[in-house]
Amino acid sequence: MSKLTAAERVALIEPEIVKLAAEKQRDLSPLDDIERIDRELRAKYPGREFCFSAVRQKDGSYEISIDDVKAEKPKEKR
Amino acid sequence: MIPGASFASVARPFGGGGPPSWTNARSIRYAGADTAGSGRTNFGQPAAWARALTSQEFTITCWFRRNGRDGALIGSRSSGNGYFWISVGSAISCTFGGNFASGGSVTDATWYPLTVTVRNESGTYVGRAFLGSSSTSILNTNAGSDTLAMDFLANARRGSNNTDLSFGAWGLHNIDEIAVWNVGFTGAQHVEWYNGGTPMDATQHSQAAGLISYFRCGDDAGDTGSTLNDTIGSADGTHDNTSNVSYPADVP
Repeated sequence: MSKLTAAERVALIEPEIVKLAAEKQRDLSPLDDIERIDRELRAKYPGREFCFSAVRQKDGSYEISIDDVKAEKPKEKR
Repeated sequence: MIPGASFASVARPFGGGGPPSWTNARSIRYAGADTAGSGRTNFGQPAAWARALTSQEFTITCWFRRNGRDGALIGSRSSGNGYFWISVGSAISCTFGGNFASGGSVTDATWYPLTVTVRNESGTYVGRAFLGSSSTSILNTNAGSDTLAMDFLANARRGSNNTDLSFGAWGLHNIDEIAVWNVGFTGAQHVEWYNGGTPMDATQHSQAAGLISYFRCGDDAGDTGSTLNDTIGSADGTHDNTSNVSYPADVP
């Protein structure tokens, strides 16, 4: 299995994660939403290996990283 | 020899001299067709497993085999609480105190040794997972502050509270040699657990002083009926939907 290149991660994370976060289902919790984003990314890039992480911030949002590339934060449902 | 005790009066269940040899002949196999009816195991919320993951170490090691369906392996999680949880899909996904990380690559019908750990790394408690024979972690993130508030379940996870189940979280996995530790694991200690591809006796691992629960998954005499016996502590698991939980002679 090949790893995503740094350029691919940058290209992936901005449009894809933000788009997926924006399209999230309204009945999902933030943690469920993070899990869904991860699942959809992996389904979209089968056979490509990458490390996905999401750290909860003080305001309840999550900061997402793919390897060392950070993206916008899916916001806590208010 | 103990005075007054003849050889014949000393219990030696396996015959010869010395302790009985350690064997691993069975694993747990979960089956089912939906969330409500699939096999699962509930461990409750054992006090010894309740760790402050931003300041205390914690580890679960096991062997598993994915059998064609993504789903929860073992852990405590709900929609709002991500204390410590492991799921198996095309990759491994985990939560550590509410933070999420995924990575690695999993294929069906293959047994894998797995270590998921929170360990103090120069004052920061970091969640990592190690898979297969490698000492390199497949995922990592700092541990968050969620505490143990939902039951530990194998092959399921909670939804919005501690009585419901999350739709679609069940899998069809085999799992074997589940060990719970109150210490962190390094990559080298995971490789020790890998043991060249043959499951080892957790009580013989170099971290055994931190072993707080150990489930033999069908190889212990206490694994009967709906009970999964904790051979070290008192966190016995209880199987639900027992017709979909079995102990086949199917091991790594």
